This record gives sequence, structure tokens and C-alpha cells, in this order.
Amino acid sequence: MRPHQGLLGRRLLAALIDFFLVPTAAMMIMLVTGVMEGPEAYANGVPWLRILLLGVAGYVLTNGWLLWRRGQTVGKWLLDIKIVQMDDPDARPPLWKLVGVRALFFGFPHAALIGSWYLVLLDVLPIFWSSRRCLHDVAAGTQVVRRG
Amino acid sequence: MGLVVLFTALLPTQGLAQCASDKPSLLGAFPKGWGIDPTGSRFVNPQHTQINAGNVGQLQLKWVYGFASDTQRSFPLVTEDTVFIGDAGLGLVALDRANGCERWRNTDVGADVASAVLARETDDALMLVIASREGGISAVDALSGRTLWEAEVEDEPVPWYSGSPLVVGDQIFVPISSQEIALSMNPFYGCCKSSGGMAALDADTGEQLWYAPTIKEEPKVTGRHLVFVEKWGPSGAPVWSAPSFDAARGLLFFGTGENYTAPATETSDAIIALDAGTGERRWVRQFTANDTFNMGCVIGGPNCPEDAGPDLDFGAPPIIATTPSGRDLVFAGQKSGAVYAMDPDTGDLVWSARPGRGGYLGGIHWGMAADAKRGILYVPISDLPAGPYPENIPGAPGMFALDMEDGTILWHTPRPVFDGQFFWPGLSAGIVAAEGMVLAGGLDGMILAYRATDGEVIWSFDSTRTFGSVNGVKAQGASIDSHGPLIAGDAVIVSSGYGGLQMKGGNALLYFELASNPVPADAPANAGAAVTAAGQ
Repeated sequence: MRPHQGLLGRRLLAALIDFFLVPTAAMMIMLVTGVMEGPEAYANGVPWLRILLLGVAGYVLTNGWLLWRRGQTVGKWLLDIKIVQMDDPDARPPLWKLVGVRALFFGFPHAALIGSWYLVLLDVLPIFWSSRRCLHDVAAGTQVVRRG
Repeated sequence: MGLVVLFTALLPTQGLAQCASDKPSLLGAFPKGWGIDPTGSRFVNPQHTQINAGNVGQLQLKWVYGFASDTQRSFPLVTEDTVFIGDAGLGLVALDRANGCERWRNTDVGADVASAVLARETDDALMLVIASREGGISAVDALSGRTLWEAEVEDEPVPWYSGSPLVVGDQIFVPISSQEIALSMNPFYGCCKSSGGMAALDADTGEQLWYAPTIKEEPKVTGRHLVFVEKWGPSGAPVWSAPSFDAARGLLFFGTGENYTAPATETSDAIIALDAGTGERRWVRQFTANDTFNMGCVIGGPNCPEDAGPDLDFGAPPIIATTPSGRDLVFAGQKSGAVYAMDPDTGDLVWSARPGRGGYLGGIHWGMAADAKRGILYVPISDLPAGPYPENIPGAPGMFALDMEDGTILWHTPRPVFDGQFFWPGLSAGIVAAEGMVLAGGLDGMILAYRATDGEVIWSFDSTRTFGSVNGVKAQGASIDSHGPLIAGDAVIVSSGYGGLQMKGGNALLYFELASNPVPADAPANAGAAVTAAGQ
């Protein structure tokens, strides 16, 4: 089976699943920690950094174990696709790339809930190019392929 | 019915108005604050204007400027040749009074400029002071448009600089409200910790001299919602509007709004007197107790207090004036539609009246005016049906004239309400009075001059139309709200269009001037040089 066969639909569906899971986790973290609960979070008109970091935390909470063990997010696990190195489709990327680079982009879906939806589009649109790679793939030097 | 004559020659049909000089004259800076003078009277005496009841009908629209936002809330300042005004969406602009061209623009002040433009005159310079809602206070050199300093009040975490500051000598008094009123709509926000207040800044540097919160108690946790989110109180009692200054007593007077959360305090919906030198509180007179309300109530959110109140702020600055019998009184108008006269030394109530039905957008919303010589307190009533209001009392939009001595209604000119109207005809915006008349703008876009003696409308102008503008921006007239009209010299300046809350947005700055060659009332409808409205 070619690694990109039927990939687009699976990736979009997996992204949709993650799109709902990550903000849900981020909101739970927000509730428990109270980081957006007081006026200090909104002082100087810049709550964005906290919101972005909440998105990253939500991403790691939801997907951290799967990423570490299998190179998958929950969405990718359900859709049977995985993240591999761009230059070696058999190699799982190091965890720092999966979390330290890709997770920054996955803060965007959370930020989308408060109005920065265009950041999600910016990240996702390149998937329609022939390489089938999102911006976070390019940044992390990874690609997504079907498992097995 | 008034004759409205459309002239086009003075309004440029193509290109932008050009200035002969980018340097404004610094002479004749006017007014001396949102209240026209520091007492908040909103009365322009004949020393500062030629406009009066006898000639207001000869006002002609000279030019129109298009703002960048449809919710304009800045009040202009003029010198002999320039209008300085905040252009919400752009910054602070200096416009030539002759043709509306832009002399300079300052974008440092922020796009959310929201106050009157104030002046501080020194021997050889003129400093402008303006507030932007989230950005704070800016001082700008009037000649060059260069920013001199910027300042924020550090005592509150998320202040809103919604009311206009007041410059008195070397001090700038800054009213403080809080962004928490809006943050309360977020169910994950734990409302609320902040207090309203009044700050004093050094006019030379912007350095804070003192800060007087309206609530002195520290907020405590009062409960939770969504299991984790902590509620706090007391909070609120914001100061939404400019203070007024009593030079003889050295006192500042200002009104407060509701408490955002329980427990309620005795300083909400109140008039407060402070020592202007130290910020020490002299007296508090509360008119609506236990009024706890925030925007969470509007959306039914969990931050809304259990026993939410009617949100009856004092949005209008108090007026300190001497009645014809020689008694000094502080007059205050509330969103409840009520007017109060108080003793300035003690805050004791002298009389009260209730010309309006009230509601959470007024009642009396942005400001009254006083003609002390005639002993008239002009009271504009909006009565826009909004929020909890007594449904057994009919709304009374229109202009009231009250006797300053005892609150007796001298006359009342209602605004008719009918189907198909552009918008509710209430008088929500601040008003301004001159010799023998008072000028008001309606939420329906009408500009109206009332005669002081009997309340007859002696001039009107319907601003709800599209204008060609001197800056090439399509200018749309609509609801007139917030600061209302300014009378200065031979000019009337009005911002038409206010998209905040439920009003109709628009972006037209209308500059009227007394006609040098008065237009006959029966002149043909296309026979002149500007968009003109002649008398009724």
C-alpha cells in the first residue's frame, strides 16, 4: 500500500477529532488551575500567551503518551495513521519534535475558539499540496503515513 | 417643518481636503473639559460662542469628516482654526476648521480613544490630554501631534479609561472603571475583584499622585461555579464619567455605577465628594442600594449575582452650580430617570424629581446641562426600553427643564414615538446649553435646539443620511449618543453614529457654522454652498 493512499480524508478526520479533544482538555486544565480566572490574566491586553500555552498543555495531556509510545495522536490512532520522520518513513520522530515543535501548532485549535481561526487554516491548508504535509509537519521535519 | 437645503459646492466631490499648514493655532483652546467648564455645567456662555436662540436657525453644515469606526465616543476640543478629536479606529486627529483637512494624526494614543480631548495651556505650548479605553492616558503636543507622555493607573489590574479626565491646574483627574464588567460574560472568569476609582496624575509627567478606590475593602472569595471557578466580592462601583470640580471648596464630585458582585457596598450608584488635593473622601451619598449587576446577567451567565440589581449607574457627571437665590447645589442625574440636588458640603439631599422612567441605558444617561442665570437644569431623557424598568410607567423620551431651586418641571418637550422610526428617539447623549437654548442629539439621529423659555424646538437637523466627506471616507449619520454636541464660537460640532450597545452605528463628524449670509427660510433646495438646515 502506498503511504499516502487515502490519507487526506483520514488526516482531516483525525484532525477534527483532535480539534475537539485538545480544547476540551485545555479547558479542563484552565478550570482546575484557574490560570484564566482572574484579572491578572487579562492585564495589559495580552491573554494570548496563556491561551496558547493552555492549548499546548491540552495537546500534551491528550496525546503525550500516544506520541511517546506510538507517534500518534488520539485522532491518528483512531484513524490508523502515524507520524514518521520525513527522511525515514520507518523512524518515529524524537519526542522533542513531536511535542516541542508540533504541539506549538496544536495550540492553534484552542486559540481558534477565541477568534484566531485563521491560524488553523494557515497550518492546515498546505495539506492540499502534493506532499500532503501541514505546516507543523514542515516545521518538525515529519510526515504522516498510514500505519502498517 | 424645517427647510433642509442641500448644497454641494463646499463639499469636495473628488480628492481630499488639503491644508495650507500642518501647524494648528494654539489660541482659543476650548472647552475646558467634558463639562465645558470644570463645574460640569455644559453651558457655553456668550464669551465663548455667538450662537444663541436667536440665530441657531442660521447654522449651515460646512463639512463632514468620516471616522474610521462606527462607534465614535470622543468629544472635540477647538482652537481658533483647528478641531482636535479622537477618531476611534485611527487615533487623535487635528482638522482645519475651515475645510476639515487633516493637519496631523497621532496613532500612538490607540484606536480606542474614548474621551473628551482636554487642554493644558502653558506660556508657549498647548498640551492635549486624551484617554483610550484600554491604553490609558496620553499627553500630546498640540502643535506637532507628537506624544509627550503616556500613563496608566497601576492600582487596578484591568482598568477601563471610559470616562473623560479633567485637567485642573497641574493635575489631571482620571476616572477609572474596569474591564471586568465585560470579562464577567466569560463563564470561566471568576468575577470580580476590581474597584472603580479616581486617580490624580501630575500633568507635566503623567506620574500618579494619588488613587482613591471607590471600594476600600479587599475582595474575598464568596462562592464557586463550574466547581472550580471562584467568585469574588465586593467589586465594581466604577466611575464611568468625568468628575466635576468645585474650586471654592477644593472638591471633586463624581458618580459611580453598580457593584459587579455581592456583597454590595455603600459606594455604588452614589455621588462621592473627594478632596482634590489628597483624594481623601469627604462624603458619599448613595441613591440605589444593593445594585449588583454585571454583563454576565445580559447573557444569563454564571457570573450574574443571585439577586441581580437594575444597573442604575450615574453615567452623567454631576454639576455644581449656584441657583438664582444664591445657593450652591450639586445636581446629579441617574439612569433611573431621577434627578437629585445635594448640598455640596454634606451631600444631604435638598430635592429630587423623576422625569424619566429609567432603564439600564437611561433615564438620564450621558449628561445634563445647567443655565444658572435662568435657574434652569436641562434634563435629557432617553428611556430606551432596555433592561428591567417599571413597565407601569410610560417612557418619556424628550427634554425637560427643571427649576434648579426645587426641581419643579418648568416645561417638557416630548420626542414622539411612532412606527417606522429610524430608531428610538430618546435623548441619551450629553447635551450642551447656550444663551436662551439647549442643544441635544437623539438616538434617532436628530439634532434639536430647544428654546430655554418654553422648550419649543427652534432648529433641527436630521443626520441619518450618507454624506460626502472631506477625507474620502463614506460618512454615515445615525444614532447620536455618548458625548453629544459641542458649541464653540460660531460652530456646532456633532458626532453622528454610535454602534455601541443597541444603537445605530455611523461615522459622521458634522461641522456646522453660522451662515455669514443667512439663508432665507424659503430658499430653493439647491441654492447654496453647504448642506444646510434652516429653522423650523
